[in-house]
Amino acid sequence: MADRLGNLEEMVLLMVVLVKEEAYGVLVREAYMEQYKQEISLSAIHTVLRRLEEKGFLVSELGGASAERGGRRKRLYSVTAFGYKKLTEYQEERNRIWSLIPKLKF
Amino acid sequence: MSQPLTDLPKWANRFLEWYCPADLLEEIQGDLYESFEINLADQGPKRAKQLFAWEVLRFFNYSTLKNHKFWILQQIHLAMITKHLQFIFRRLKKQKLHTSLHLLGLSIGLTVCLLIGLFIFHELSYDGYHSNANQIYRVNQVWEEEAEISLDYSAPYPLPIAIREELPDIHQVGVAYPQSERVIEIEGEKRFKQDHILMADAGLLEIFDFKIIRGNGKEALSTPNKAILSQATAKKFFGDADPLGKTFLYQNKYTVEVAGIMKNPPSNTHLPASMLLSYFPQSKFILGNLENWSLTFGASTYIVLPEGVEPAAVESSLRAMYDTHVNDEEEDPEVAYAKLQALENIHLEPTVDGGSKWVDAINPVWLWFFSGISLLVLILACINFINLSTAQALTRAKEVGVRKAIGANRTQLVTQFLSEAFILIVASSMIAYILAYSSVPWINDLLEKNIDARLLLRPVILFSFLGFLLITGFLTGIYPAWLISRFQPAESIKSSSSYSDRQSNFLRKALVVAQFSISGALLVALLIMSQQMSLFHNKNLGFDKKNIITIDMPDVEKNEVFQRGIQQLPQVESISFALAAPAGDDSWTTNMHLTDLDAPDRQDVRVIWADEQYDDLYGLELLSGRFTTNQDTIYTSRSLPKEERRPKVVVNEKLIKSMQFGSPEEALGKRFVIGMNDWKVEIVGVMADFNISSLHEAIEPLLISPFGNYQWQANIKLKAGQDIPSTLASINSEWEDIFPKYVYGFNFLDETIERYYEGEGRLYGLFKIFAFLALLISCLGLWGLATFAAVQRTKEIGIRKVLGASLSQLIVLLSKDFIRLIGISLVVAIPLAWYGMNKWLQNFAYSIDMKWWFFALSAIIVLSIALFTISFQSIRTARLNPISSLRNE
Repeated sequence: MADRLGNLEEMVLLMVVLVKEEAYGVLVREAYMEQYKQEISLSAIHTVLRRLEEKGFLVSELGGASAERGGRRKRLYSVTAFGYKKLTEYQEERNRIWSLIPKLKF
Repeated sequence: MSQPLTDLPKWANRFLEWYCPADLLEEIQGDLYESFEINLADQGPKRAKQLFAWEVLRFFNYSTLKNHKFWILQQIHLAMITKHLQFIFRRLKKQKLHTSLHLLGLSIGLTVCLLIGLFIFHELSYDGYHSNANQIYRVNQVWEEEAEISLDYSAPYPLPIAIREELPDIHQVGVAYPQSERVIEIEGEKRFKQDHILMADAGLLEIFDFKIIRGNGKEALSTPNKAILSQATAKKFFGDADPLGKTFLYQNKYTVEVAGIMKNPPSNTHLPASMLLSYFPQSKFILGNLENWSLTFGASTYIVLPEGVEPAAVESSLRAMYDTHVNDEEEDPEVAYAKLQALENIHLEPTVDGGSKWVDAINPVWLWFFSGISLLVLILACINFINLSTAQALTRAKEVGVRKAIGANRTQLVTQFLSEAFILIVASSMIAYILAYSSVPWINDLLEKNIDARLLLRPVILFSFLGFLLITGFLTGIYPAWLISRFQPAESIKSSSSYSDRQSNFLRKALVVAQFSISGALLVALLIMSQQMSLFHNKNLGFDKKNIITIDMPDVEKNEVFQRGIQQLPQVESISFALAAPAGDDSWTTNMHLTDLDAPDRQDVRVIWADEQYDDLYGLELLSGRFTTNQDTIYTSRSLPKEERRPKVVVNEKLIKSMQFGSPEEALGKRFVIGMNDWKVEIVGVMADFNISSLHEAIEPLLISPFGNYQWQANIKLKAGQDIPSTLASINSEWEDIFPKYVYGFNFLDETIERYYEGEGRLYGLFKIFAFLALLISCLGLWGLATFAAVQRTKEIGIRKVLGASLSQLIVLLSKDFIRLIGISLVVAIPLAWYGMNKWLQNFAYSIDMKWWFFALSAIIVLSIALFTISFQSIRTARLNPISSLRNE
């Protein structure tokens, strides 16, 4: 199970890839809400990010301190090669399955 | 450097800082601050604050918390836990005796607690299931005379009508009139007596939750001659046929139509109705009393008080009604008024005429008593646990020493020993649950209750039991754990012999004393209760009660015919007709006075109307004069002018004492007035006192007179040594010849009398079992202690034996310490028991005297049980071959 991606995990991971630089909680959440047009809580984003890191799809480091956010540092996430590969695998898998489905007209 | 986040909700921020692990705090807080600032700009301060607080709460989840300091499990490594558990189970398995003593003692204790808890829960749950239970009140009637109060659960007929008309605040008023057993006839075929018939009006349905599943209940109860049957009753009456619309004959008189079906009422109600019956318009009794305010006849009035209306306010308006209708004669020393009784109290106040017609209320004292017992039993079980664990501590000294030497800290050790205690407690609680669950039917038999065992699975009970277990487990486990973990490694590894600990030794002794004080006191209580119970059953009541049956007669006119038929039977010795047997609740009570019935010093007197065979049949002892004869009725004949009527009566000793008529001889010929027809009666004979009601009550003044109209009961004395079933069958065939339309029913008088003491007898039976279990638990503990003491002294015994000590000397040596402790406990227990039981005996008008031998006997029993328990182990140890105990050093 450890190397599987859950649905939410995949969606969040994709957002980290999309944001690319400075991917931290607030920004990932904003991207998520913008792309998927649905609400999500910050705590859910944090939970998923941590889980993705535990599974090895992401790595993180603490960013530098700034005067914003009450002087608190950000935890910046970036995707690992393993994580990126996983995402493309999922995508290819889906494409393959779609190609097996005859085109239907509604 | 930071820009002021002054608008943040401070509590939320502080909460976050409190729960969030340090390594996550910075990033989370940063993100939250940032979102807050964005929200502040976008959505305004109010919404931003709300969102911030909401997010803080959302972060309080497993993912954030799993690394936190108060996540205890995180601290103890999983491997460590498995090892602990492995150790514990290995140990429990190896020390079979120790484990089984623990399990046995605790599971018995917990079973007792569960069962008693269930019993109390059941008793307190009476009628709590009605949807507006806490607003329902019953209107009880109080008669007060000279500060003497008598309470009646029924109210006069016009009262509910007056409440509806005059107290508009009260919207729901209902009348319930529980009936005695009634004759039912179904389609001319089946005929039987049906119990628990509730005559009710439509208002009652708005008050109580009778669950009507078919038919229109309100319509049925507002129409005469309709009935709503419970499912069980419908099945009994009509089998599987559709009961709606069917009819049956009630009391050989009224044709009643079934207009509805309701669910069977639960067992915890004081109105377990088998059917609801509407009223009978042609009933003479109801018609005659529509306006009668001074008659209560068993029908109770229930009301629902709206929110905010005080019972006291309603009581005072009711008082005003009573004052206009009942208390209008000024000279009458007796006043009547109404008192509201909350529904929940109906089952708990036996002072209101026993509670209700069908279900006797329980005296809450019994509930306290049983809670006390369960607590004591539990304490005994806990003491066992503590004693056995501390006594065993010495065998664990080495283990603790080694653990400490390789770096275990004290908290870990305490955790280990506490977990051991908890595992034992959880295991025994499971056993207890199974035991309790399976013994509920048996308790139901014993108490004649209908407690649902599934109550045990109710969340309320489960959770309170769980909480209770946690507390018990902690309280019993903590001391042994603390004690054992205190051992110093160097000392405990080094010393091969016992690790003696004066403090825990003293505690152990004190606990044994406490244990046996409790069991000793319970034993004394048990002995005294059994004496009191046998007094109830065996006391000479002043009349014969053997081989006598009583039959309620349906028609006084036919008494004579019945008598002729019965007297022919060879098995019958004699027959007598009367209002009531000397025991039973059928006799009447009225007032008496020398001259004036309205005088404040009038007294109550019991009245029995009986024919001339009565005294012979019951073997009543005559002290002077003669018994009344059937001819005496000529003195009350209606042809005489009223002032010349002088009814002859026989009275008891108590009456001449309270009327101050002097000796039995002097009393003859004296006259006084009684409240029946204002008769001025004349004493023709004086009887010795006999107990007319239960022995809870003192003997009251009584008179017997041969007035024919109310001789409703046939008293038949059977010859001794006859085949009873065949006798009853021949009486039955006489009955059927004379009363073909009535169901024959009889009671044995001695059984009627026994019934007075049934309630107490049952509770006593329960107590007997629990007291026995308490003693058993104490003995288990004692046995365990004796075993460990013997093991500890094996070497000493060996040496003594080699030096020439005899077997008996050794047994004395091993037992003497314990016996001394038991002796001390008895010194504590006996005065306690004496005090408590003295109080208890004061509840009865007739009670046994406390005799010294009760205490001596209990002391001997406790001592011998204790000696017996110890002797197992001490004899075994004393007989041990010294070689085997001294060989290894």
